Amino acid sequence: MILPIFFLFALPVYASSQRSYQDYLYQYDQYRQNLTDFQTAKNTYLQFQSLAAQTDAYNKTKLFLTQRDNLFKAYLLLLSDKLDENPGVSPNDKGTYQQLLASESAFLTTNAQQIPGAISLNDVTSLSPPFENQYKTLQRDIRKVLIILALGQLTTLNNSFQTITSAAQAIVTANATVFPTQKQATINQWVTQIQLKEQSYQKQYADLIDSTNKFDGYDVRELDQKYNDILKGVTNARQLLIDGASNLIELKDELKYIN
Amino acid sequence: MEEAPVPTILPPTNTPPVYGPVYSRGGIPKKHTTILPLIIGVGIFVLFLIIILFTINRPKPAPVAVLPTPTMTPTPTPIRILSTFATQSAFLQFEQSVNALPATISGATLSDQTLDPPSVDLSLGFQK
Repeated sequence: MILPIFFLFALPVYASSQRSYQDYLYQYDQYRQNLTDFQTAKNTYLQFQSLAAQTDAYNKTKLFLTQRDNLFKAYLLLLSDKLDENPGVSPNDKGTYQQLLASESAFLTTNAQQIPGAISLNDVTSLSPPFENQYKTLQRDIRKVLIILALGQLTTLNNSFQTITSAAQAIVTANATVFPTQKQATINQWVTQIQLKEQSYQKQYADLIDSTNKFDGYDVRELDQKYNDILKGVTNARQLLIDGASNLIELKDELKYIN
Repeated sequence: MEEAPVPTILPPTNTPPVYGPVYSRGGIPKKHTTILPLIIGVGIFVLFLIIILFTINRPKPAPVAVLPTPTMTPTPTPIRILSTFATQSAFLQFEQSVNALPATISGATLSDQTLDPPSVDLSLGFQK
């Protein structure tokens, strides 16, 4: 009874992300085509400087700039859906980062709305610099959301780990008098080891949140470098959970036998 | 005229005084004939010393490992007694969850590669 209800809620969320991903891929294909057309028209105009070539360059530039905005809008929508679907991201973080995505999307919409009004090639080329100036901020916000998504995945894994750790702790507490003294000492050692892993994880996670909040860079290259550093930290935090899970197996084996 | 008699006393000759035994030319003793045995002796002593040092400092041969002789009866596995709660469904479910946990954590995708940001051309490049 519960399972069909779960799928009833799960399916639309899954479909939403899939749909936005397909749309993003389509927009990317369109962008590539528009880029090729734009480059051809631009080179022709620069070579011949004819009126026909200028008109063609004007039209192709308009299409290219519009599609560049559309591509990023589709990508931001995909991130928004992924953020909604991620059960590890807190509602508070979802609100914060959805707002960030909405703000970037609004900029792109405004930028795209100005393109049809451009009456000359000079007009239309003057609409590119605002996008170029916003590009670093856009890339920073995108990476922030990507980090939050990775941290959300990490949180989901930690929740599973915590649930099983609590169950193990309950078994240890309930059967404290069952085991011989030496055996109980070994069990306590494993419990301590698991607690240490948990503490290390919590510290690592707090550091990652701090790095995410301070995330910024001089240019896209520096942003990429910092982004990759944070992802390495996420992988290290995951490793702590794997180690803790191995300790849980040891504890389980100790609990399973009386001797 | 009679010839003068030959004097019987011969004039003294300059014969050097003899202080010790006179050897023939070929019989003069050489110094190495006395040093040679000493050298040989020292050589033998040094050789002896080297042999002793070598014997003392020679690495001792590794003790020969005594391999257990295989027997027909295998060593019995220690009998482990299950805890009272180990067969209960709650523990079995817990065991299943614990066993699956490492693979779940290590297999999870943290960073989705399909979400890599798009790469676009920024500058239009109309300036030649």
